Parts: sequence; structure tokens; C-alpha cells
Amino acid sequence: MAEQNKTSKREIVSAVIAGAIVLTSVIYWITQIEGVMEMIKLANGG
Amino acid sequence: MTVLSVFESLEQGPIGTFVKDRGATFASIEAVHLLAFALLGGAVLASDLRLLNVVLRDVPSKTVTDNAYRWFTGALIVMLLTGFFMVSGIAVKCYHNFYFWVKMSALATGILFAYTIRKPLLSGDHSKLKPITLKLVALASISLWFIVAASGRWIGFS
Repeated sequence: MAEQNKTSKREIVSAVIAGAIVLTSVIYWITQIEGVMEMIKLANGG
Repeated sequence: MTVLSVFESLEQGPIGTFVKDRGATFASIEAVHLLAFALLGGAVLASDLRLLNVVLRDVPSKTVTDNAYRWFTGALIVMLLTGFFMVSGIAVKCYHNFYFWVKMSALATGILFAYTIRKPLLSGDHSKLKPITLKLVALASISLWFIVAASGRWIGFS
């Protein structure tokens, strides 16, 4: 039972941290989109 | 002693001089760095896309992730070693580059995530874990290593 609770707690912590990382990544790319578009233009000789 | 002075002494030191002064050295080290990164990316994509049920569906996910971790660790060691040599050659430029710090932050987070969250979680029976947890862990891992790769390339363009 104790082992089950431990595993369950680890899973919740993992899911929360993973969710936070995904959210942070999405926010990062949204803030960087202008730079990304500029790089694509440069790559295409714009 | 400031962080900048550490970077300056790294570039002016014997390793920095060795990397900078010989034309093909940086390019050769970068080639090995990129090959190691390709291997690491392959290991990340194979295991994370398996966790997302996209590839290798006929192979148990634990088999894929356990095997991929060996390649991941080996590639990471080569990547860190070659990365250190590469930074030594252009340390001051890296210090002033925003994307270098983005890459370092994502790399540190990626390593911590891989060995303190992902590996312990996936070392057990995957069928006992909720599918949403597996998918979130896979997405987080892919996102982190994608930022490492993209910001790494971005250093060269900024």
C-alpha cells in the first residue's frame, strides 16, 4: 500500500512537472515567433 | 571573479586557443557534436514517439525506452564533451548570445528531467501508469530537446 502511494505520488509529481515544461515551451515559442519568422525569411533570401 | 571573466579565460586558455587557431578543429568537433546530437535526438524521438503511440507500436514501450536510454546517455556524454570544446573557441561570443543561455537552460532542464523524473518513472511497469502521464512526459521531453536543438542552431545565426 505504501509502495502504491509512493508510486502514485511520483506519477502526479512527474505529470505536473511535465505539464509545466510543455506549457513553458509553448509560451517560449509564442514569444519567439517573430524571430522565427524573421529567420525563415532570411533563410529564403528575404 | 565574474562569469564573463571565466568565459574570457576559457577562450584565451589552451583549449580555446587550440580550437580557434586551427581551421578545421572547430568544424571537426562540431561534426562530432552534431552526430552525437542526431543520436540523442533519435533516442528521444524513438522512445517519446513510442510513449505517444506513434511508432513501434508492436514493441513494448518499456523495451524501447530502456534500450534508447543507453544510446541517450552515450550521446549526451559525447555531446557535452564536444560542446565544451566548441564553447571554448567562441566563449565570449556565447556569453553575449541570448540563445546560448536559452540552450544551456533547456539542456540543464532536459538532463534533470531525463534522470530525475523520466527515467525513475519509466523504470517501472508502464501499464500501471496513466496514459496521460506517459504522453505528458513524452511531450515535455520532445519539447525540451527541440529547444536545445533549435537554440543551438540559432546561436550560429545571431
